[in-house]
Amino acid sequence: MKEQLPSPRPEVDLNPHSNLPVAGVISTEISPAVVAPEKAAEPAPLPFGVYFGVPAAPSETLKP
Amino acid sequence: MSLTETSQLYAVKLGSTLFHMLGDATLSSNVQDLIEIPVGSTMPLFNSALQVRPDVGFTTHQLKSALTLLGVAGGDAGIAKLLGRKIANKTGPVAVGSSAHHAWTASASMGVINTISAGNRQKATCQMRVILLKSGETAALVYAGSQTVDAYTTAIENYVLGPILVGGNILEGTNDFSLAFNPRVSEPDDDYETEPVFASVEATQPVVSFTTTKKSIWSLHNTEFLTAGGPLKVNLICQKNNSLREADIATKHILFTAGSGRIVCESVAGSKQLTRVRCICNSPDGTVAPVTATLDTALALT
Repeated sequence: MKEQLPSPRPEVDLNPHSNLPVAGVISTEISPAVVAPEKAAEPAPLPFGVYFGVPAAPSETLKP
Repeated sequence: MSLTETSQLYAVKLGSTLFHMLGDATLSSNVQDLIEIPVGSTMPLFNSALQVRPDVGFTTHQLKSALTLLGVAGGDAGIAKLLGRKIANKTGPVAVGSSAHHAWTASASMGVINTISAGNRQKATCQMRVILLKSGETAALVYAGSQTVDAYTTAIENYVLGPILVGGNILEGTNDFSLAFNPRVSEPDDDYETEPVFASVEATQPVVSFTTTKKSIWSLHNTEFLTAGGPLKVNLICQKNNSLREADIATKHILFTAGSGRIVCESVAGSKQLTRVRCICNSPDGTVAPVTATLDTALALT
């Protein structure tokens, strides 16, 4: 069987709408700038009357 | 005859919070019956269910989880489940991951903490009520006999009563603390459904109660405590796993603070002449809760 060789690539991109680079090489690596960074899940807001670490400000503030 | 549906109380799950440190958990369907006996007849000819108002009442030691989920004035408890773990004949409790367990579920619910109590070297407990609600077309109470149950976490919460302060000073000989939120729950009858679709806490009136051996507290009888002069503070000390208790400065404890209110010396009783003190709490400024809960904090000693 005769060896099959790839057909020569056209010098001009035949598809004017193609986004592929002229050389036709598609990189499978995803550029970091393209992928939006995952945001850490924000903690749920605390319910009424509950605080973490420090009590409510008015409790610790001396009133005039 | 064989027993195939034996189960043990496992947990109450509200949303993603699993309450597994339970004293007890009771689910009541609260069915109101309509029974018709024609006048002059000796027997009923008709009966029907007028309404169903299911709720779950339970006590738990997981105060941090309860306060983080519901706060001091109740709130959305999400999908509510009472979970039962199947007990198999001869082999005992079935594996958690198996789908052989039982669950009573509501797809929407409102939960509220009624009371928190604690004593010296006694586990703090919190008594809660969850009102199960109909959501869309999903009934307020659905039983399922083929459920998995969540594995327990290793983050166990245990607290005991710590120092109680008034006016910036630790009261000596305090014990038998209770905080009753006295929530006023709204369960309106304004729609035609047999099951409730709405429940909320309209208001709370927190009252703190404790005993003390300090006789001179009677000089504060019927006087106020204020933020300026030093609010009422109640510490709950966090117990430490495989140890005694967390250090005073460790940010693991719970602090209840009341910024405004009145101290009432209710009674003196017993061989030690313990004074039972009641503190009626107001909001200090109309926006801050009458009693706030600060979680993961160091002990407040002043």
